[in-house]
Amino acid sequence: MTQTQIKPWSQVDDDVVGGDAPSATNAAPRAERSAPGPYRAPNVVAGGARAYMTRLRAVHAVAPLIVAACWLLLGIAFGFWSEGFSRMAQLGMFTLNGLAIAIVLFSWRARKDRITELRTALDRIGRERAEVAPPPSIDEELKQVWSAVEQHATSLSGQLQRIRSDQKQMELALSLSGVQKQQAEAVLRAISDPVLVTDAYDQLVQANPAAEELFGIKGDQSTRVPVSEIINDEKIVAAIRDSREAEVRVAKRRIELDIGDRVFAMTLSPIGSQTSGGMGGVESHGVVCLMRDITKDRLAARMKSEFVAQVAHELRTPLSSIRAYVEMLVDGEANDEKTRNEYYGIIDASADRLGRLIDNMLNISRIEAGTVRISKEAVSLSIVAKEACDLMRPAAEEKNITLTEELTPTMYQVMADRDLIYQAILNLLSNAVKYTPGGGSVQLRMLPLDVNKSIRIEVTDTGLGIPKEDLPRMFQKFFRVEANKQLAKGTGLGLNLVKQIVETVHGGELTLTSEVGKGSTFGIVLPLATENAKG
Amino acid sequence: MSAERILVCDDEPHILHVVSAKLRHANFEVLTAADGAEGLEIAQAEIPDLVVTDYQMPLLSGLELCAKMRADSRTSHIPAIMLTARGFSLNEQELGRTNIKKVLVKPFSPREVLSTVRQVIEGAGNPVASDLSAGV
Repeated sequence: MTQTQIKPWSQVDDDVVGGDAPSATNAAPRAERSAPGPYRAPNVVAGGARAYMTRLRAVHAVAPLIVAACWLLLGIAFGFWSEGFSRMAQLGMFTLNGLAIAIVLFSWRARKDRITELRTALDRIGRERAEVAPPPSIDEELKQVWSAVEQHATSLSGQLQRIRSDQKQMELALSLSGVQKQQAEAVLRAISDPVLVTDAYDQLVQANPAAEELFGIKGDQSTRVPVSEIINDEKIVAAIRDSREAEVRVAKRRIELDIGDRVFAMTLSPIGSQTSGGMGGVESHGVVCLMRDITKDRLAARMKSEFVAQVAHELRTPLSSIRAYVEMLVDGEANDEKTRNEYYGIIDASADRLGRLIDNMLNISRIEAGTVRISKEAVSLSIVAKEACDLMRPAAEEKNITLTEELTPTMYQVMADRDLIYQAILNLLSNAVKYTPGGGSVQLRMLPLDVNKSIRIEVTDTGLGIPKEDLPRMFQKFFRVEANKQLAKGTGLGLNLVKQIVETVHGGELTLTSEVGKGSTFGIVLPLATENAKG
Repeated sequence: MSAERILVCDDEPHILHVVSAKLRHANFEVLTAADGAEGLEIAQAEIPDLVVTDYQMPLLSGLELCAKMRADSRTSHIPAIMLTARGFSLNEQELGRTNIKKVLVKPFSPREVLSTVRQVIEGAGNPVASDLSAGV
């Protein structure tokens, strides 16, 4: 009897009522020794309680009738064959016959009652699963049947409980795996990087929206289609295949791909599980491909490399002068005192320039890292601005550029790091002179703002001007206006340093207005120092 | 071997000055230009025997100057030596479009410039091919 065939006891009983009586005669229980057929132990667990009961009841129903009929026929035959017996003897025979039939019928009836009791008790076990005592009326043989049935019922009840508990666990696992699947899908959808999942046959199992967009996959296309039919990039298809076929499946692989104008780093992780064969064998279920857009990283790396090259160039130029003039002096190429002094002067100036370049770069780096040493004091901006103008004047005059200044009285002071503010003003003036063609003009102007709460320093030139589209990027590190690169050298650091000094260090504001062909105006707005702040 | 005319092109006045001085002391006639455009103009007008040029210059880079000289029938025969402060080598393809015979990396030695100038002038027409990609 398999588990699925389990029926309630009451139903078993119904089956027994309509049971097949003929077969019962072949397997009569010990209870009916008079019936023919081999003996079978009442191990109902082995044979099945239901079959046993069927046979038992059939034998009880038919056997007494057969015995009674035999007796009757024997009596009639006896009477027929014994004509010579007296009527008394014949009467005695018939009486004995009748008596025997009555006894058999009575015994059959009593047995049937006991079996009915047994059946009722067994029904209770099935229905109520209760501890039911065997009916007192049953004899030793039926008691054995009882205990076998009871044992079987207990075993079945245990099995039933286990099956129910297994079923509950499976239902729970099923609902849990449904939730997990939903969660996994939600995670996949939420990932902004493209993700592809393929199966053991390199067919696409899943693609998140980012991947669908990147590869132009339509929603209905996205399942169980060979990946080579969807993605028209042999490199990706081959990478997926290689990853799936690879011997060492635990290892991830990474490839870089150019797709359109974007660059992706694709990480392929095989989905594998240990095979039952052991020895570290792994079965492949497919591959998960995660793609990360590294376009910006690449751009940053390129900008950094360009910056380093530019910085190296800027550093090498004064270094070249130093080395070349020193060598000239050593080689005695400077014959007179005047030439020697000229060479000394150039070496000195070049060393200065080298120092300034290094300072500039370190300043930016320190301000950015927040490690710059700032010593703020009350600084008269007019004095600092005048110094910067004086320093730039020779360069301006060399290019025939008019440099004018319009300064406020020295009482206008700001709380500032003198060296850094000087650097910022100098950078603006230097840029103005650099990008203004000969014959133009550069003007430095200062004016108090907001009823003497802040002060504005403006540097206006009649230079090349900045294209409108480049204005937002002017203060970015390394950025240089392409159209103006030819006119002057630069690291693309100067304006970034000004912005850092004005806004990060001093909490001021740096402004810019410009028009191509007309010129530019850079403005620094700084809060004026209060009397208290000046200490 | 004197009186060969050498055009020196550099936007850094100090470099221009020192290279010119070294070559003049060695009895070369030196022409100078402060940017690539001016250099091209002088090269086309004066047809020097050799050009020593910086790589990075305003208006016209040293490479563009040499390519334009090579493309112009008047100046196509003039060999060139390049001084560069660039942090990477120039590629063969770029150099192939020019008559650049040797690349010297800044910071350079004036002695080395002079010896290279002599070497190139003596062996004019025999490109120093193995030295072309020497730029670091």
